Amino acid sequence: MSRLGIVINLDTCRDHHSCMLACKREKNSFLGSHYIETFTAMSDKFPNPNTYFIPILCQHCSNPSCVPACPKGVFTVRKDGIVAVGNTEVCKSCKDKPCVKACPYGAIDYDPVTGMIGKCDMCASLIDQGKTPACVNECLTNSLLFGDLDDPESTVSQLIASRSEDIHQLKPETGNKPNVYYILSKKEWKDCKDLYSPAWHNK
Amino acid sequence: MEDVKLKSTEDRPNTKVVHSGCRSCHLNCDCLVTVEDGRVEKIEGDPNGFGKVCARGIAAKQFVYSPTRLRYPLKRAGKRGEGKWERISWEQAVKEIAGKVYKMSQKYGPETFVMPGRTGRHDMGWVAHRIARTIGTPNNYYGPIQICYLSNFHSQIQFGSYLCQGAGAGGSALCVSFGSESAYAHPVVGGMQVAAKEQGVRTAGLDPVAGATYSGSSNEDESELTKTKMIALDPVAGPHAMNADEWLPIRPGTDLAYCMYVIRHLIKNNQYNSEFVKAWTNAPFLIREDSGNLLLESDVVKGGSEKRYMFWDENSNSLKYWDAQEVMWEGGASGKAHYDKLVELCDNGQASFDPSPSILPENVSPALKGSYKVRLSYGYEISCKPAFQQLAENVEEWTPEKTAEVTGVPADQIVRTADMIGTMHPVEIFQGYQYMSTNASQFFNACEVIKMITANIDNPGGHIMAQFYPVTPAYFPGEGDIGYSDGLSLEQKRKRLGYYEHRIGCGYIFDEWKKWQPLRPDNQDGLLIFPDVHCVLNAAETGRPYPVHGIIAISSNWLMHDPATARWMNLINDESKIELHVVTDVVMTPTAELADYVLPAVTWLERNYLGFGIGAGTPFKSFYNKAIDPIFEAKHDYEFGAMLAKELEKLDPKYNHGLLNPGTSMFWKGKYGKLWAYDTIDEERASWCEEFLERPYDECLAEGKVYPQKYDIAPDSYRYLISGKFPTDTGKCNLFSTLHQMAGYPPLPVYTEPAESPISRPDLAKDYPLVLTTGKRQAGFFHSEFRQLPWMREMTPVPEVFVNPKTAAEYNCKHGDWVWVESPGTDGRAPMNKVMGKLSTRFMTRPGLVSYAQHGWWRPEKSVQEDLHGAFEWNCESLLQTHDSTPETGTMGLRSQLCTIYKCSAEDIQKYHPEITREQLESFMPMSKEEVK
Repeated sequence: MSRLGIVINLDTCRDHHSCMLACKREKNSFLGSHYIETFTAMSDKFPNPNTYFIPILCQHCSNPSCVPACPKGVFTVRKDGIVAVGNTEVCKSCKDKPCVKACPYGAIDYDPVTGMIGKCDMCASLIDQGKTPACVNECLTNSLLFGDLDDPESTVSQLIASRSEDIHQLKPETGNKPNVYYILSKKEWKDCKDLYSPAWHNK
Repeated sequence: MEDVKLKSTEDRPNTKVVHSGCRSCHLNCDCLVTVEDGRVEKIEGDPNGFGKVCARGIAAKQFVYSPTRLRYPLKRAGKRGEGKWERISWEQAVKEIAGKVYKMSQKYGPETFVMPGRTGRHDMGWVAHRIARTIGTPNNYYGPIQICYLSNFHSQIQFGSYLCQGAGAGGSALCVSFGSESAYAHPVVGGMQVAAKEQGVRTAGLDPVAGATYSGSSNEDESELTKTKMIALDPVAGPHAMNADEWLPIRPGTDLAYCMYVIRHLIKNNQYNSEFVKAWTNAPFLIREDSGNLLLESDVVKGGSEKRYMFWDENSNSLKYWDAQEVMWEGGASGKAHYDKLVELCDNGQASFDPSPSILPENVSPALKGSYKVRLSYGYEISCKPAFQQLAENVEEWTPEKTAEVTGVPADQIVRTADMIGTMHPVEIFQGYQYMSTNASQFFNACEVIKMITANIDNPGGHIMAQFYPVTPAYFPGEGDIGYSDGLSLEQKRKRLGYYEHRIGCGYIFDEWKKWQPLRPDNQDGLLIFPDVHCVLNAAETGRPYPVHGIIAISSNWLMHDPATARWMNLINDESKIELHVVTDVVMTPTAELADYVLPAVTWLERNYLGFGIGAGTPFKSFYNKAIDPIFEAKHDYEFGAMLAKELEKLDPKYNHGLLNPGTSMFWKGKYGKLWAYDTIDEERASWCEEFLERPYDECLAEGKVYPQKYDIAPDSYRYLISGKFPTDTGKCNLFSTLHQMAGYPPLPVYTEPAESPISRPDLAKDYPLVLTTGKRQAGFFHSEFRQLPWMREMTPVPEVFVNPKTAAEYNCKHGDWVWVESPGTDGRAPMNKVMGKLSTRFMTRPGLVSYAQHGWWRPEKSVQEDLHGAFEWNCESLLQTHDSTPETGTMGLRSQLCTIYKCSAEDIQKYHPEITREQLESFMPMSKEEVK
């Protein structure tokens, strides 16, 4: 078994946005959607602000909310753990888009023009060719790492094991068991509180 | 990764992958462009280069096919800015422009033409300089150059050549940065900074922004990696400052005060390198108290030399000299013969590693402190003191308490960080690329002094000199040579607007400086020969000292980047003032909308490129390929210059013939010839390749990185030990700036308060109590560019106005509010002295401050009828005035003026509908294959 995941080192994320544009280049998602988006965790402390950046993408949960929420079976969990996106043409006739509301991370984008949805699939087609996801590849500070979380020898597993004190996950209380992990040691972890992104969303 | 790429191209015969150099900012990152059926499809990093490209590079395919591209030459058919155009041919356009240039030059003199600064395309600088030279005007490059990169090339004053800036990525033990935000300005450099800070890098003499990739004493041993500590002075804690080891939330424009304290701290605590200071700077040279000049042998001995600088020897308690011409200390060996040999080698592209025999004799100890009585040759006795003593006196008043009061940084942090500078090595003083306050020149001088007295000169991890004459072989001309810009007569050069007002920046000292050494910088714009924007405005408005009637803008969206927008609009709307306005550009900008002729230019994807670094001379030349042919009728700016010269030549042969370079330059010195011998830039480049690399151009393009046939790998650090002197008049690092002294400015740093601050202008501060700073960047843009790229604009849709949350609350505003930022209406700012912006507390700022990000905002989604594509809604330049400026260079206080803020009303939002829409973004999507001819 394998369980693919991404570890993001927030200590070195500098809001360069290369991940966001690598994603655009690879997935060409509709205007106003960002399958990965760098948020700023804001702080009002002066002169030692607890500000840091956090890229948020589909967490590829082990217990995903979107899969049961979708009445059309658009999402499937692959053997490698990727929450894949099927044919989204069927979403056009789906009235309430329950997946969008179900996702606790806001990772599913709804396109009001086409009526379809979109989200990160960890660049499954690249992975199937033996490559790494576009965002991981393009990060200018190598803050994104990709690998098999079930393989104790993988870099991501070893990082998670060796830096357990600094490892965080988004909204653990949901029980979604994300396969995206964050490393933050230099600032205080705020989970999803006080997050802001200047990017434009077509909602 | 590469294998996959090659395979995929084999599968698709109409697909090719082209090695190119991205020009979405200065960095020129190596990239691979996938071209399918003649169309750019994908832009990626080149694994043989940095391996990655930033967001702007990826989005460049939306730039090349943007529906806002200019397609054909256009001639104005209505009033300026009305948006009415007639399509004409290139031939007709250039012929008509040449006719007007000729007639107006006859009537007003060629200096009536001014050329605004620019930064959007490669080759723009020297091509524009050559166009200015062709027309005969000394007025090229006002505005941006007075702030942009000046902080870097100002170092030529002290060292005779540029100092490279490692930008925190050069493997220094410590990097002190001033207002630098690489994460958005130069993201790839930002990535390198993180690597330097977190993982450590090999200590090297690199200048990432200049694209210089040669290393200093690079070490293969991984254990030699240096982790760089970061001190960031910045009123806003953006990505760099918020992650620095020390964030100093300094009051804008007072960085100089901080430097004054640092110098004092280093001297008081004996944290300066007295060995280097004595041997390699002019700090021990005596200053005459009566004249303020350096004491020369000719002052004290009848018939004495003017090249001998006097100092006090503590060992013998007597006057001694350093002879700059003989490269010799009194009582020591002469380095002249060795130096002359180096000059000979340099001319032949060869190098030597042999040290100079000229060293400071062991029994001589130049005094740095004290005061000495000296008898002049004609009998009078005067007092003299070492320049270092004068420096110590200048900084004495800068106690931690006073510095804290002026800068707004706590005293303990000031002391702590100064101590880091004094105790760590090597240290980079990264003064950034833009310093925009009215004490700019003295700030640069102070930075150079800190570098000198801590011996961080030409050392890896410190500040490598780009070129070091005569140690660096000069095998290829730089932009400073090929622009032929110094070929004008002295009489004509003296007409440059600002020449006598700003004598360091605008050319007065240039003719003195250029005698020091014959190497010209790789960056044409780095020569200190720019006109001053305020003098240009005044001349155009008043006709004094002569009228300005023509603007020729090469790659310049000047309406968006020059301050005092209201004054410019008055001028451009008056055809009796500005009779001719020509613009070449890639897209239809607000500036282009105001032109009489608009000419379509190429993007970086449509032309080959031969790399010139910004400051550094690399031991190889880099070549980059075009991905596609120019679309529509776009041409390289070079072709415009060549066409214009040839049309002018028909009217008078002098226009395309003359002295190429004066005798002081190394290339084509004293040679007369055609200024434009070719029609295209590729033909001219081919001639350089044959002449200087002895290789065909095609081969160079295919190879990418080309070393000259005969070239010695030269030493790349500590080169003063080889030459025995620095390439300056004194042969030393000019801690005492002889050029400042000559031009009538303080030769050693002194502090002045920013000209428009709450302290200097309490009258204005009553109604405008907040400090306005500009120049903070946003992700995805390069100055005024890329607002119409859908991928950039959805990422950064509106300007962010950074304000401290408490300050915002005092003004009844909060994060996310649309606010008006208003500056005083004085000095010609009214009635355009207010712009909108979205208040943001995303980044912490010092209280009482408004940081408008980013500059040059316009709204391509709006029509020309809507105020020139929304040119005045969000452009912070219209808040700024040019009246107050740095005496030496004309640098204005763009980062330190006054303003206030207040919330926009619901009617304002209704009127300006500031949020972008999906339809607007969709309308900017690339033109289809069918639409592009």
